[in-house]
Amino acid sequence: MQQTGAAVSEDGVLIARFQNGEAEAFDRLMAIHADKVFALAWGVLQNREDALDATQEVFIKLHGALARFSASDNLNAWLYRVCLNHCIDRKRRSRWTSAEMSDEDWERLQGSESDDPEFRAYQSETARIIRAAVDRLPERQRLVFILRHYKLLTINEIAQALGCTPGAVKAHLSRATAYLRDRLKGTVILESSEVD
Amino acid sequence: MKCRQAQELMGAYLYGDLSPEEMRDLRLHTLECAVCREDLAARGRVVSSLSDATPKLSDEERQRIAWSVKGAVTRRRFEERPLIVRLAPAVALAVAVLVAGFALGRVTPQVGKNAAAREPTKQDVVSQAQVEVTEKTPPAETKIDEAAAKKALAALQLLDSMKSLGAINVPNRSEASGSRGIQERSRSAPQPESAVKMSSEPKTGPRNPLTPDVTTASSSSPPKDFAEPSDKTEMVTDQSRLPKVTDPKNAETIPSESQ
Repeated sequence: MQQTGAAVSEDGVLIARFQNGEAEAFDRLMAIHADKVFALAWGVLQNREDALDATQEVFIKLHGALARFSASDNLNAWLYRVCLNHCIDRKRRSRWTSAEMSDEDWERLQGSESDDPEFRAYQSETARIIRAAVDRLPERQRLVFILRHYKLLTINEIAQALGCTPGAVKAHLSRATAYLRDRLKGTVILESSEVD
Repeated sequence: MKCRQAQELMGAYLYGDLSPEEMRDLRLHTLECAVCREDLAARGRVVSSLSDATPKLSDEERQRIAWSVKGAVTRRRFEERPLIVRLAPAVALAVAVLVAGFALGRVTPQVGKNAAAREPTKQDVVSQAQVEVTEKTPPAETKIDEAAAKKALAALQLLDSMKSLGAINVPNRSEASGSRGIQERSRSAPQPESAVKMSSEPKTGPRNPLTPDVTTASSSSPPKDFAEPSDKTEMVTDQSRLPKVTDPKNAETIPSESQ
């Protein structure tokens, strides 16, 4: 999620073109950032359809706000902040009822590409255990863990989006990993450490 | 670094989010503290067992998002316009409909009048055309009768020539002819028995009542009667019987006999 100089300059050029009346520049901006925004929305909402809807909403908001952008504005930070706020708000409205990832999403994330049935079964069992553990994380810890684990945002971007310090984000991340460690103790994931 | 401080940095350490100094301090602590070393290893196994792959948008989903955004932007642009601008197309359409309706309302009575005036003309044209067609294409029966009439005329000419030669005795034309047509004459005028006998009895057998009439109609006068359309039907009726009298065989035989 680190934006490069080339990306910044391309964003700046596209924003300027859009402000000069070129509607196609907005299409190009969507093509560049859609995957990242969608991944961020999915990371928070943990549901593909909800993430698609959130991605649409974010780009609709971007279209309305792009006329007020200046060359020095960071489009990436703006997009992630708006997306994160939108998703958190959405999730709060739904009272986290749809917070759990579907089996399909988790298996896709586990990337089980092996042809070995035994290994695939192990991966599937591991994914189920981890999913259950992540779902039980406190809200903010889970959010930080997902955003960071899937490399959706940097520590500083998360801090900016959540309105806290980078140190607080690091602390949330450490507590999340500690919680998962405790939850997964005695499972196939951590049994080797227990043996030791 | 104490264990509490080390545990606060372990999560960021696993994702490479520590500064070089923080990273060095944490490594030094784990070398000295077995508990923290084991804690860091366990967290590492948890994190590494969970894939960090993120879902990607399919092409279909990408298009769906693009279309949805464009549609929403278009709707929002329309809604952001002033009310008068938004209603302008509807107002323009309403005005156009009113103007068109008014213009149509003014034109329609004239059209109705014109149509009413023209209708009889069309009907007249059609009826006139039908009349012309009827006149130009008479029924087949009429054509046949005209052919028979020609044959009758030929027979009359023969009779006239025979009369002039004195072969047959024919009453005076002025007695039988006049302003009446052939039909009237054939019905009212007394039939000269002698002429009938002389012309038809020897060859055709039974007497033909038309024979005297045919004989009285000279070759110069008949066209007047045939040209009358009002008498056409009657002519057809009469002439339908003419071929019996003026059978070409008889017509040919009579002069030969007279001669």
